[in-house]
Amino acid sequence: MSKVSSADQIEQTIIRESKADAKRIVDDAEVEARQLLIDAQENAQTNLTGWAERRKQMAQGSGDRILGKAQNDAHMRVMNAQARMMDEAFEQARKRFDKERSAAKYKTFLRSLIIDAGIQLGGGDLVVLSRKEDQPVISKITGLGTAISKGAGKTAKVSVGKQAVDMIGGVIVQNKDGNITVDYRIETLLDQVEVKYRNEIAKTLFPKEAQPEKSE
Amino acid sequence: MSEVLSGIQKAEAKAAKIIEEAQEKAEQIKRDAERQAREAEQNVRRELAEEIDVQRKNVEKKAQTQSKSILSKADAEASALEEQGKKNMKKTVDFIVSAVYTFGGASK
Repeated sequence: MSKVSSADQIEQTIIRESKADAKRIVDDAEVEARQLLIDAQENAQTNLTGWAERRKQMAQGSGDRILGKAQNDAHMRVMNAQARMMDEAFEQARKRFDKERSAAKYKTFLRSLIIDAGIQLGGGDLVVLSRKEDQPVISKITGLGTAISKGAGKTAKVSVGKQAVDMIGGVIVQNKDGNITVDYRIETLLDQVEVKYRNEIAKTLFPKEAQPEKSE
Repeated sequence: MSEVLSGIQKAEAKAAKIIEEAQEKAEQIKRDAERQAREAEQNVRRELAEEIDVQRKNVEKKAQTQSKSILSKADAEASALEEQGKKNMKKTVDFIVSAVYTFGGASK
């Protein structure tokens, strides 16, 4: 009876120890597994830091691009509004010259342009080209040759070219050979005015900075 | 005696079986952990991507709201400029015409 009991004890001990060993094996595996996962998580975070930073910067950049585009568009809208008004002013100026062709002031103007151009060309035989409507006006202007001769220090003879030029007004003055030209067309003068007086024109059109919040 | 030995042999066999099962379980635990470790970077990347995507959407939404405000202000400024321009158009045309006449000395 005691033999059996002793054998049972041995068997139970074997089983108990094996269970304890089994538990230790599993526990060790679990500890190892947990550490593996912790290391993996840490490595992942480290490996992805740069990547995440770049993605965050791209996200911020995306917003910056939207804002940048809006700022450009806004600037263009304001600039375009100014440009439209400037264009409108020059368009109206062109129309004004079209209406003023018969004014005495315009005749004086043509005279001055021709004399100035003639002096620049150094006198000699000069041909004045103009639009068809101005040809008879220019033909009636007297004293051109004398005035140019005086200014240029050389005898000048002025004739009106038979060929009319398509222009708003003003004149083109050429030497006899037609190889030297002074362009005093209204459109050319308007271009020069636009370049020379751009700031003054803008200040006249927009004397105060636009203040939309306090629009009158 | 043989009965005792037989019992011990059975117990040892059972113990070996218990150990074998524990080792199999431990191997499975390790394999699972290794698989999860391999997936960790992918998971972290996905989570970060989702988080950053939310951030990006918020940033874009805020930028769009600000853009609307900027453009609306610009439109108001453009309208105000056009109003000013219309109001001062005649004066400006006079200035341009006068400047052209100045080339010929007719404005004097």
